[in-house]
Amino acid sequence: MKYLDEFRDADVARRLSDDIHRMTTRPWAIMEVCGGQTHSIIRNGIDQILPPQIELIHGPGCPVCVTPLDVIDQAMAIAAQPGVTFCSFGDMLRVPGSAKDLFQVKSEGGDVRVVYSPLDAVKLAREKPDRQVVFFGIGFETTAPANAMAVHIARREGLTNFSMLVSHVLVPPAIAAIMTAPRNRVRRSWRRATCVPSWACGNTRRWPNASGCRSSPRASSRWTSSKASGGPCGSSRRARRASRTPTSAW
Amino acid sequence: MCLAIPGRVDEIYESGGARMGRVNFGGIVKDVCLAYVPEIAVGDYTVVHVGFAITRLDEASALQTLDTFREMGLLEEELGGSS
Repeated sequence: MKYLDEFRDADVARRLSDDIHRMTTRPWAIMEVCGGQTHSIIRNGIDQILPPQIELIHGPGCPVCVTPLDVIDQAMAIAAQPGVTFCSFGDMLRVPGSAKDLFQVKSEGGDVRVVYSPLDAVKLAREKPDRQVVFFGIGFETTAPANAMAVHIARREGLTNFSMLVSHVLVPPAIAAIMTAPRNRVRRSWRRATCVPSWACGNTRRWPNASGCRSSPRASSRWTSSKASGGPCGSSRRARRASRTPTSAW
Repeated sequence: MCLAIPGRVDEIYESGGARMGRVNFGGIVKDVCLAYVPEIAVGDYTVVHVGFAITRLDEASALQTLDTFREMGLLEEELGGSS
């Protein structure tokens, strides 16, 4: 099946695994920040083939996980309205609100579209002047400029049928809270460790030094509240608990 | 939406006052906003996140990453969403 076979290429996996085993000469506690990474790690059993010296710690999340429940409920309410074309990154469609998710709204007749870029939503608004096009503007530092540009272009073009439901959060305050916690076990050289995929993951780029980062109460409370909202990464959290059992022997 | 993908700028044009480009991701071509990387020129490699070029990239590392992503089947998965 497409996208599954590629992940199950034993030769590639073995080569990468051998490289990691060869390079791991001492214990490492590594935190992956993005819930999408956590999901892939657990789904593909990567945590099971890593050297025992490597401990993966999951968190603090991703735009999907950290979007508060009330914002997700607002998205459902807007998407269900007649005359609205609701646009979202695909990741958000599975995130459960209080009663349903966007997939369910779509199956009940809501006009919910998956877009790759916020500019795709602006394009839709341009093409469908009779529809109110609403983009679900979620994300961290790297997504906010893209969403801002969509608003800028829509305004400059005088589009009156484009709007955005916005929920942006900051990564550094969450990282700072973790790194300065008395019981933190993530290694201080985390910055170097994240350099490997730093530009490959849109949300893990160029963090300032955590110790120099002042916590933002707004972002912190949003992050905390998100922990109750669940989402696709909720399954990761459950998987994480399950995976803790074998890893506790590490 | 989490992955940022390297691609080569094949063409640059203006749309709605924004600097846009046709960016080739190992065969898949997408319209990308270049407003945040004004130094980008045709033939350059860039990293694209949610339809926006976010940095310039050297060709060797772009091609290496594209190969890795292709090997892992990630390219179409990330770029597949469309209206």
